Parts: sequence; structure tokens; C-alpha cells
Amino acid sequence: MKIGAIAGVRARQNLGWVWVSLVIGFIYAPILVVIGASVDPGHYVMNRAYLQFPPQGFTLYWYFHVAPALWRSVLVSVELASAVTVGAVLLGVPAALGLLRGQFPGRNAVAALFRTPLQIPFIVTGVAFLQTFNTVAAASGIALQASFTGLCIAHLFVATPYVVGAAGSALARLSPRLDEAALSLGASRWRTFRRVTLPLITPAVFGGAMFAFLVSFTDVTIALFLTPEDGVTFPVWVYGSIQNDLETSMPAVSSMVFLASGLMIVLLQRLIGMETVLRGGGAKG
Amino acid sequence: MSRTHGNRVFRWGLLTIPPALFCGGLLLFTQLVFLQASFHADEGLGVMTSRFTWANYLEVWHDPDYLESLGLTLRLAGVVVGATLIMAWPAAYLLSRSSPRVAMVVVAAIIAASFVTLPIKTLGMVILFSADGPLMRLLQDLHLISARYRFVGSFFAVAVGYAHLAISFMVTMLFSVFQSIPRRLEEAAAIHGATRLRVLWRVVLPLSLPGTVSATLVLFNLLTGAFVSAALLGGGKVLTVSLLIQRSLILFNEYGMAATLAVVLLLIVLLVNIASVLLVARLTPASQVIA
Amino acid sequence: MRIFVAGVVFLLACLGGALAQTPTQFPDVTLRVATFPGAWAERIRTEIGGPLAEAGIKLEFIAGTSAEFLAKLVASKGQAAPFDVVEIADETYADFRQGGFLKKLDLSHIPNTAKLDPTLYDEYHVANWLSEPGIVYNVDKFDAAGIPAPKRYSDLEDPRLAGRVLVADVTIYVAYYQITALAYENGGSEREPAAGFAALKKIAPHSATGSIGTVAQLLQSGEVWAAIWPAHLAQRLAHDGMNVAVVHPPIEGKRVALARGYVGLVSNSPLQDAAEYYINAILAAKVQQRFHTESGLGPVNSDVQRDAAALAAKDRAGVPFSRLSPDDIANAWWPDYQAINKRDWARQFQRALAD
Repeated sequence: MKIGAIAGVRARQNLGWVWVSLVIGFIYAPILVVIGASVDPGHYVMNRAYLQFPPQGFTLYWYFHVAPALWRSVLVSVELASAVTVGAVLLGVPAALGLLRGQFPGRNAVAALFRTPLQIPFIVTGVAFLQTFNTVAAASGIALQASFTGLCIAHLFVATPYVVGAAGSALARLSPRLDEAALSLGASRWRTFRRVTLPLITPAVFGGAMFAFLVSFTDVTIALFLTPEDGVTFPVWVYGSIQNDLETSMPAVSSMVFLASGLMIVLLQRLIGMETVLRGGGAKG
Repeated sequence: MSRTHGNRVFRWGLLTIPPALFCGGLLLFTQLVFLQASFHADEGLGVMTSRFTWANYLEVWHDPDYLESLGLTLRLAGVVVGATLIMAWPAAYLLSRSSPRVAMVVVAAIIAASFVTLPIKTLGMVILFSADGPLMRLLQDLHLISARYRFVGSFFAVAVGYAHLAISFMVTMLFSVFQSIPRRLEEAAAIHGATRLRVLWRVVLPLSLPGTVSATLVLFNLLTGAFVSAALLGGGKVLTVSLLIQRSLILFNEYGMAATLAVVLLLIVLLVNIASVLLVARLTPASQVIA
Repeated sequence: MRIFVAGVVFLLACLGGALAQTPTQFPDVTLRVATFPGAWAERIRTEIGGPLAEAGIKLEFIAGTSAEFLAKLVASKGQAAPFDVVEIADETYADFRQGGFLKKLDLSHIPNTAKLDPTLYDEYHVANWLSEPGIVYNVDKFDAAGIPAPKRYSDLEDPRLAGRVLVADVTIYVAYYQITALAYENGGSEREPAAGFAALKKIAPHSATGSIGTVAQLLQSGEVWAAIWPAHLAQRLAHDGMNVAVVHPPIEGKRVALARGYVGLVSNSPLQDAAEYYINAILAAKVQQRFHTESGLGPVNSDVQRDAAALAAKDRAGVPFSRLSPDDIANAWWPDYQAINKRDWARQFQRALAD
């Protein structure tokens, strides 16, 4: 290749990286503001009614003085998202296996069924589930509309498609010859699944599970309608606080959650190799 | 493709039954309940008449405010999805073609960014894009934006909020789409003399089209139903359908009308989804599937 | 002598021990209180959580706004009450009563109501905080633009203020105050608000919001120069060094607009006694003082009001932000909510706000 062509390639690559940096900048700009505001001293008695950026000083005080209710909401969100993730995997992986390996009439329709929750706007899902739970409560006395269980069910509904999609993509890429080879060597079906199939789709399933966790942890729309009585979720708490009485430790908690999630992702990367995780992510059926 | 090794035929299809019952059951039940509610008029305080009526739908059809809100919601979702696609496509492609280490770090950073809850990010956006803030002052001095620029309460503000919601998902979804396109194909085309641009146009674009459309649709659906950005950044002026639905339900306790608005939104969103899928099927030759 | 003292001490210790074994007033109940999210509930918990626990009442908070609580009660009609004590906003009270969601209180169990102005309570609801909608404005910005201090809401129609005034959204009670006040200033009333909406359009607001965080953020950033919002916001902003002032335009001859936040007892709650104990506790002077000091909201207890008026935070010109003396409270105004059709007003508000 000529020197000019190489330089052209270099320039295009650099331009590409500038673009990526701009995108990252766009994504991170508000986060940096929040982190900056979290170290602002503010006032200890009459809290600031707004976020102060740039910060007028530096202190980690608010990182150590988080309102207990705010911590509780973070715990509720983590519990909820974890439950949803486990549920989504337990539902989604068998579903994907059945869809991709099974032979039954209406397979396409069932596949479409699992994609449908992603076609319903969250506001509609929230309203529909609220009214359904109210109806169930009026008819049977089982109150799901303001409960952890009810919200868990609604989140499962919208999160499972991600796992089905991820596992499905991974299974579609697997050659059936691998299974046949194992079986011809005398392995039982279960053993084949456990030792051959499962390890190969695990990274993709992790990717889908991570999306499921993210969707549940960050959801506000559905959680607003189905707020559990005994504990609001973290995003709903923050939203309510902004509406009514700004809690000064919020930026600090947000920053801590951000750091924790970053660490979690690094850990995942070490455990299973992020590259393969991301190869399988997304909700393509 | 049932496995007939040994004497057992394993019916993989059976595994689908419990999840299908759960998801399908929920889907059917919830949609039926709220569909039914839309056919009853409200009497206030959550009470609905017992008569079946089309009154709610007629009211929506004849009310210019509702129709305007629907149009606004679709416009917002469309514009933001388009803008996010333009931002994310080159970035995701570049990341997928760079060293795995770098890609991992960047994508991990983008996912971590999504964990910062949107409500508090919007306060950050209010500070950044404030008319009197350093960034916007600069743009005003350069005459790139008008002196009457205001952030909160503008289409732009809600769009920015939506964009933050969408971009992380878009980048990671497109990243996995590009990951599934083997590099060998692009290298083969280059060896045969194709320029970079031609490789992108003739190899990458067609192969990534189904996945891109799928990701775009998922995000479009997400944005039509988003609530928080519009509530916090809309300033009472940008009334999306999600805000109208929430008000119907919480402020006025009109369950019938809330359901009706939700049904109308859902129908329109489904139409857009179906139309897009059909369009893509038209544009993609059948021989393009490479798993 | 020493033996005698030891004996007395021993007897006193036994007595103390015996007293400590006394059963609590309430048999370990959990009182569910539906109130505002954010720092508000935490204040209540830290201030009266302890004394209430000693009496055997455990507090559990359910977060939300008054409208959301009403919606929850509507949805759970005929079933167990989702909470026992509920925060009732002025504009939702009529709906609460109409739906039959409130139970009559035995006011003899709430002796602290004696400290409240009679307009602030009745058998179904008792006020626990006050706010005073008015015009909060940035004095520096007004001075720099040469705009005189506003005296009435209609003064905000000044063309130099176009796009610089933040108004309250229909999702919050302040909206009803602003429209009604504008209507009265222009010859209308609650029943004929058209003049008020026309005036709102002339003000050409920056936007409308129901979130205090947004108002504070926009005033602080300077994008907005004035806001129609309760006075306690000004107190908090002044605390941070902003040069703000508040105007309380007189309406119908009254000196100050007053909004009241009430608490009430949910009709099928089994914990009436505990609820009344709780309500009495939050009316106590110390609690009311703390609410006032930390959030700026007005106290309902007239003892605290007297002190608050004397110690009231003032703007740089020496004018207090809030008018909290018992005399002011007795001379206060609020809209006639019975005459307001919310749906209709929301629609007209939307039109007035559109560019």
C-alpha cells in the first residue's frame, strides 16, 4: 500500500476514535456533574435544594452520611434485580433451548411471543399490570399491586426476552455436530447438555442476564406504578426526592452505585471473559 | 431435528412450555384486563360505568390535544432513535473491529454508565445545558443558537434525556451485531480490491441490517413508553402520551381513559414495528443469512 | 448513715425497675404512614420515632404524593387499608371525603390541636405543615435588568420577563393558587378562570414544574429569574447565598396565600388510637420547630409560629420571606376547591402554556 493510503487509513481510524470519544463524552458528561456535586459540602442542617456544580469545596462527608431510607432503597433494587435476573435465566434458557432445538407446530409464533414484551412501551406495561393486579386483588384478596412479588413479576415479563434472545443467538451459532459427536461417544443427553452445550452458551446467557439486571435495576416507569409498600426501589426514591425534598446524599449514593457496577462488570470480565459475554448480548430472537 | 440417538427421542419443545405459559399467560391476562377497561366510561374516583362503550376512543379521536401528544411522542422517539443510531453505529463498528481489550473496557464503561439512575442524571443535564451555563453561553456567543434558547421545557431537553436512556443500549446492541459479522468477509472484500467505504456499503451494512433494525425497534418501543425524562425535563410543555396516561391514572383517577390512551399508543407502536419488519424483509435478499 | 443511704438507693432502684416493666401504652403496633418521599419522612422518623417506639408504636413509611395515595385508596376499595395515616393535600381533600376514605378522629385524643388556629383542623383532617405560595424572585437579576420588584402576579407579564418566569405545574397545588390569583387580579374567579389563563399566557412562562429540585436548580443557574412557588424555597436559596426575595400579593383583601398539608386517618384502619397518638406527636412544638428549621415550611403550632415570626429568615432588605405570625395565619386565603374542575383546568393550562 502506498504511504498516502496508509496515512489515509490512519487518519480515518483517528477520526473514528475521536467519534467514539465524543460518544463517551456525551454519555459521561452528566455523570461527571453528579459525581462533582457529590463532593460539594452543602449545608448540614438546611440541605441545598439543588445540585451544586462545580462543587464549592471538597468533602466526602455525604458518602458517610447517607439517609437510611436511601440505603434501603438501593438494597431493595439490588434484591429485586437479582431475583428478576435469576428468574429470567430460569425461564429464558429452557425457552431458548425449546425454541431452537424443538420441533413443534407454531414455533415461530411462540418465538414471537417471547419477543412481544419488548414491543410494549413500559408505560403500557405498568398500567396494564397495575389494573390487572387490582382486579386480582378485588376478586381474590391477593394483593400484588403494591408488593415486591408483583413488581418482580412485571419486571420478569420485560426482562426474560433479553435472556431468550441471548441464549437463542448463542444456540443458533452452535453447530449440532458438537452434540452429535458427544452423543456418538456415549455421553448421555444430560451429560452432553451439561458438559458441551451449557459451557458454550454460558457467556451469552451471562450477557442476557446482565441486560435483565440492568433493565430491572434502572426501571422507573413500571416501578412507579407498582411501588412495593415495604420499600421503594432506588430510582423511584430518587425521582420522588427530586420532586419533593432533595436529599443531599443522593449524588454520593449514585456515584457509589456507579462505582460498584463498574467493579461488578470488571469482575464478570475476569470470571468469564467479557468478549464472549458481549458477543451474545442483545435481544435478537 | 429431533435427536434419535439411542431409543429416546427428546422433545426439546417441552422445555418451552413453562416459560411460554408464564409469559404468554401474563401477556394475555394483562392485555385483556386493560383492554376491557378502555371500553368503560369513567365516573371519577376510579369508578367506571358497567356499560360497554366506545366513548373513550371517540374522545381520543376527536381531541386535538391527544392527537398532538401522540404525534409528539412518535416524533420524539423517532428523532432520538435516529440520532442515537447515527452516534452509535460508527462507534460500535469501530469498537467491534478494535482490540478486544480496548473494546471490553469501553463497552464496560458504557454499561456502567447506565447504572446511574436517570432522574439524577437529568439534574446533571439541566446544569450542563442551562441557558446561562458556560457551554450554552459559548454557543450563544458564537451565534450557533438563539438568545431565546431555553433548556427545560423544550423538545431538545426531552430528546437529550431520551438520548441518554437510549445510547448505552444502542451501542451495546450494535456492538454485538457487528461482533457476529466475521471480519474475514471484510478482509476478503478488501483483498479483492474494495475500498473501505465499499466494504462498509456492500458487506457490513446489509449483514448488519436485520440486527440494526431489531435494535432500533426495541429502542423506539422503549422511548415511546419512557416517562421520567419527559416528566423532569418537559417543563409541562412537552406532554408525551406517557405523561397523559400517568395523569389520567394518578391525578384524575380515570382508569378507563388511561387504558384507552395506552391501547392507542400500543396499536400505533405495533404498527410501526410490523411496518419496519416488512420493509426490512423487502430490502434484504433471502441469501444474506450467515449465522 | 451509709446503710441508710444504701437502703434508699436500693429501694429507688427497685422502684425504677418496676416502672421500667410497665407495659407500653400500645401493644406493639406498626403504624403505616403515607407521606412524602425524600428527606421529609426521615425527619419525622428521627424526631418522633424514638418516643413513639417507647410507647409501643413502630413507624413504617409509604412514600408518595397525596394524589398517589388517593389513587391507591381508590384501587383498594373494599379491601384492607394500604396504610393508616395519610398525607392529604388541600386540593385532594374533597375527593378523599367524597370517596369515604377518611375516618372521624377523636379530637380529645389530640390535645395539641388546641395550639392550632381553628381553620387548620377538623374531625377529619389536621394540618401539619403550611406553605405560602407567592412570587420568589432573584433580586440581582431584576435589578440588573431594571425591572421593579413585582407587587402582583400580573406584574410578571412584563415583556422583559418573557421566558424567565417559572410557574407551577398542574400536578402540584401551587398551580391552583396561581391561576385563581391571576383570575381575581383580572376580574375573574374560581368559577370563571378564563382571565387567569389569559394572564398566564401573557406571562409567557419559561416552563411549568411540580418538582422543587427543578425550580431550585433553574433559579440557581440563572436561567429563570422568578418562580411562582411557596416562600420556603426562598429561605433555602438565601441560605446558600442567593439574593432572593418573596412577594405575597394580597388576594381578595387577605394578606397571604396559605396552603395546608393535612394528615388524616384512613377509614378502615384498625389503629385509630395509635394514629391519634402519632398526629398529636407531630403537632408538638419541638417537632414543628425542627420541620420549620430544616425545610422552611411553616409550623401549625401557634407557639412555634410566634417564635418563627420573630426569628423568621429575612431577605437582604430585611423583609421576612414568610408571614407566619398567628395573626397572618388567621388572615390567610386559599382557593375554593369545590369550584375547580381539575380536568378542565389541566387542559386550559396546557393551552396557555403552549408556545
